[in-house]
Amino acid sequence: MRPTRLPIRLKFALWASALTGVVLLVYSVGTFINLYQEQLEAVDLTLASEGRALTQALGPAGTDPTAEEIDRQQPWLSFAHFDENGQLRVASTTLPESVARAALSHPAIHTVSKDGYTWRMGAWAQADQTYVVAYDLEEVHDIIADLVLSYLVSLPVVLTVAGAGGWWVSGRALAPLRAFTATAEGIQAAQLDQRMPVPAAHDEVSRLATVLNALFARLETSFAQAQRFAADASHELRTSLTVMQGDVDQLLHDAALPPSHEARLLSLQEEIGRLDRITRHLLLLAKFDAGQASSHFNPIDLTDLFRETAEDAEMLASGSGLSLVVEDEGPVTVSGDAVQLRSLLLNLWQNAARYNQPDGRITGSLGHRNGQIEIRIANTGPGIPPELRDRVFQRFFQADPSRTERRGHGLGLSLCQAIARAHGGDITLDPAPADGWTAFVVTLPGAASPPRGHALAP
Amino acid sequence: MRILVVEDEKKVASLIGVGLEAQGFATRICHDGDTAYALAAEENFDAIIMDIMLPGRDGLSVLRKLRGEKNAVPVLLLTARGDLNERVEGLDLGADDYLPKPFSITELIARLKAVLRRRQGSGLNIQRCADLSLNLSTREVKRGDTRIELTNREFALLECLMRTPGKPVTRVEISQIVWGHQFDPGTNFVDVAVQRLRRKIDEPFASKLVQTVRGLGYTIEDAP
Repeated sequence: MRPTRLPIRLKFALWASALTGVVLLVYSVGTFINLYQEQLEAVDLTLASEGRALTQALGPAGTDPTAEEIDRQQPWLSFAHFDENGQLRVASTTLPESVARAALSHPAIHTVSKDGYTWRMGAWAQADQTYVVAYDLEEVHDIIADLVLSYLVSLPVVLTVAGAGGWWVSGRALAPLRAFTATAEGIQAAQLDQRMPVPAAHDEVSRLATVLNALFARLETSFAQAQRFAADASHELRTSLTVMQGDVDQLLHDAALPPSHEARLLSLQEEIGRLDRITRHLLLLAKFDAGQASSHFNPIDLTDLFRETAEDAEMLASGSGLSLVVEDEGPVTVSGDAVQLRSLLLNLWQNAARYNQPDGRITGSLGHRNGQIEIRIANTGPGIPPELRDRVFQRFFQADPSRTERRGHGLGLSLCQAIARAHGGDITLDPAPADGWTAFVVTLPGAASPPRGHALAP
Repeated sequence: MRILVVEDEKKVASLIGVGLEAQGFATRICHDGDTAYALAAEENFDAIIMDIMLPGRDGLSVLRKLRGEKNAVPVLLLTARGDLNERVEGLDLGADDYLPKPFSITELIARLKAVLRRRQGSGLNIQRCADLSLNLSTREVKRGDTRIELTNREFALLECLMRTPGKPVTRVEISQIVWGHQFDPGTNFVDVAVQRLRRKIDEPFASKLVQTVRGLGYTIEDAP
């Protein structure tokens, strides 16, 4: 089946949104790392300058401030002073001694985490005294956290804006395509001379329009050729058939004709008749294909036509030893082409007689069903195997090609279909007929059932 | 009777010519529209049989020009296209009849005679064979004074046989003239149709008119 059901426009919007999200993520992670590094560098500079200031200000002889004084100076900075014996002289209350002491053995600036606090710390020595300066990184972490939060808050907004932008842009980009679809739908077999409007800009859209127009031009040419072929072939074939038929007719009516030639000439005459029928059917199909079949629709008394063809059907049936039952529910009028509709009915009757069984039956009915006119023509007989049912309306289809003694030419049903469809109806093979029966159902659009009991003119 | 035959296919033209002459018509044959127009304008013909597709001026255009000049000569059009539009246009332009190719010469001559009869008055629209009469205008069929009701098909079949009384018509010709080659001639519906016709026009009466020509077909004739 189809890989996806999403329209291109929605896909475009989702992709725009997703891509923006990824870009934003990479960008923000980079930003965070960079920011953190810069903050650390700033902290390190502070540590270094504070350390130097302390060692100079306090000196070996100086007096240590009290812990409270130290705490007051900088809320984030902590100090510790170790004397020449490594004894802690004084320290900020915020800085545990164990943390401060660690700096003695590792004087370079580094990060220490302990008890949920993270410190950036270093040690500076002056004479025998060692000063440890530590910076609580909570402030830095707060800055980063604030930033992450603001990113997270703005992310849905950004993604929505990106998606909407994608939706809008793709809508604009696809607008010419939608216009093409509408135009292409409007170009039917009957008006193949129509063309797509080619945009002035030399972009993909104008190239597509050009390519499509070239395609339509080729289609138009081949349709025109098919139509001309139909007309030419019609003329040539019919002229030849006329000559052949005329000669055969004259020979047959020649009093001096030897009896041995008579049968052959009669058979030749039959074949000419068959050729004439095939030619007519082929050409009519070609006309339907080219959208050129007659559109001379008139109100037609379908019941009259049905009964008239049923009379022929009865001759066909009794000629083949078949019985025929016909019923109709009174006057039915359709708008249509009488010649074509008669051809449709006669084809179905002929099939019903041709593909029947010895002593078989044919039934035909004309009536209304589901607000439509329904003609149903059914026959007994071997029927059509289920696997071939879909193909009965294909051209040159033969259910049983080996049955040559009563051959059809395989165009009748496709012609019936073309005629029914040209009249706004259809023809179907009843998928579940009574056992041992084959039934074709023609539906035609029709008005509501007319009043019954109305006498029909003969 | 002088008939102008306009047909660019020489074989078809000569076929029509031979057929018409066998029926006692005099013919003049030409092969293009311009000559046809010139001949029709200069000489008097009793009827014109003309193909629609012609080199030069086509049949419809010749007809239009003739009718435009108040020339009312009966015109029977032939066409190879079997196109309803063309037929409607031809009849609108004042053609008297129309025959699609391929046609049988018998049919063509019958149609020509019908056209000529129509022009001469409806009194001649009755065909007779012995005491059987067939009125082509009122579609009334009688044997003697007895009226016989026929269906459309039976009437068409009887008309087809009555065109050439005494001459056999083959099954295929009947199939073509009455049913337009609609059915496979392999089936014997023609025989069934003839049997039905016999039941109505022959069985109740003493003399039998529809005769079987063995192997060939049927004819209508007052048997001796």
